[in-house]
Amino acid sequence: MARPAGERGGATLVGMALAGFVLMVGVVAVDVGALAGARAAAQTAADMAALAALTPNAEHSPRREPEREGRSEIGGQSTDARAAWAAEIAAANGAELVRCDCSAVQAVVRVRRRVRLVPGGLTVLVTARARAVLGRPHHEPRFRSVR
Amino acid sequence: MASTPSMRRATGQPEPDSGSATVELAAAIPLLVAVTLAMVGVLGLARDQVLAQGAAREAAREAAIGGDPARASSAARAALPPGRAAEVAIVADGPARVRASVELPVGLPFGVHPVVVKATAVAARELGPPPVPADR
Repeated sequence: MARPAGERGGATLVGMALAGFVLMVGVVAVDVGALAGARAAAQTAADMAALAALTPNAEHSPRREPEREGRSEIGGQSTDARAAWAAEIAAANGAELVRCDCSAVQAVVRVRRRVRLVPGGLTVLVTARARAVLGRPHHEPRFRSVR
Repeated sequence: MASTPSMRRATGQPEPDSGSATVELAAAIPLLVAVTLAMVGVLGLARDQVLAQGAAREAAREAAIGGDPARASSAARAALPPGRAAEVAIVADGPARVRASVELPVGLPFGVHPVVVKATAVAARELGPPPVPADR
């Protein structure tokens, strides 16, 4: 075995390359984690916004008589009011409402959330979509959420 | 075989650098193992963040449809793996919103002090008859 020079420094190069690779994989792992968390939060925001779009907003519109509450009708709320309420709920969940196809019986919303990644300043938008339909008031007058 | 090392050997001098590659690599391996374990910890943290988010969502949803805070916290705990302890807080966020917060302690490798992962969810309160208290 003929070696042109000594071995010194040979493994340092290999080790540095390996360390760089591992560091890169670590950065990717952190980013994937951040994206997964943001994705879960965005989906929560989308679900809650879609459900809110079908729920009368008690903060702004005065409520009707208590015996009528819980019925499936949502009279008196305009599409804009529904979208505004959905946007408010999405914002409270840390996301921004992008789109709201909100009728009185169905809401399809799309939200987005900003994620800051590890290589400084790099931000990514994560989007999520949710759909809610007003179920028939059976025994439990709840809203069904369908994703 | 007329190269420098064999000539050195012929003069009786040992090769000064022979084996140093092995030593350097051996020093690098524990570092690589440590970094790998840290990465596994980071991924576990991310997983728990997603779990906490799901639990917060369940709690907010339960509180929004009229469940009391105890019921909402049990909904949050049901969304977590069995045996995971978590702090669940339900607060009214204005007259028409409820906010659920989940704090989930996460153990880390190397005996690092546990980190608490937090997640919140806000839901619009749905007015209507309260849920049937049959399963309480």
